[in-house]
Amino acid sequence: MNIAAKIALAALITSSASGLVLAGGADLYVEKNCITCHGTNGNQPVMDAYPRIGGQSEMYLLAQMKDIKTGARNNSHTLAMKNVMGNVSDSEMATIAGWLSKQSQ
Amino acid sequence: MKNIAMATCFAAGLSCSLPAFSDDGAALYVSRGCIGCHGAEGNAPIAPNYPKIGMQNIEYTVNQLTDYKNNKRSNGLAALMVGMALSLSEEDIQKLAEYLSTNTGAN
Repeated sequence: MNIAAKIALAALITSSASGLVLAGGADLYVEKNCITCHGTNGNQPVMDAYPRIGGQSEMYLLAQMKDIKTGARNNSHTLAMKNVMGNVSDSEMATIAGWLSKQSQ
Repeated sequence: MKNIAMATCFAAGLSCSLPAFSDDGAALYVSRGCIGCHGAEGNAPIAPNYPKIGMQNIEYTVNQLTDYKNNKRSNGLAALMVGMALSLSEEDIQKLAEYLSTNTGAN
């Protein structure tokens, strides 16, 4: 392996390693501001018009986040959610959905 | 209790309408077929992509059912729910939402 290849490999490993430092669902739930409206563990929403989401089915949660981001779901109070989802990637959504589904209902 | 109240009403020769009882929502949940997909108390859905709806906030549930009925929520499997919600009156929706909000969690 020549020097250039070693440097490239080292750079790849470094970037991969930093990429592995993934935030967990609990962290993302706070960082992405989900907690602001849905409250602790997803079950203390600030308004009765907002849903309780802790303990909800994982697949359903993920589908709603994606649908709201794309605009496929646009009813009722989804505008606030759409604005938030613009800053959440698909993999982050999956992480958040997985974590939420494991919270007490 | 209901029957006694009705009998008393009729005996008095009055035109009576009973106030909403908490079990009305439970009866609607079965008779309108909600239970078919969302399961016991709303928290045992038959498919993993169906939501748990027990313990949900009343206003949220009312909004969703009303939006389905008025074709304002159309994502995912909404077509199924639009069909179910069409025949629900506003009063039915309120009773169902109140009933569901009081149910216990699945986990």
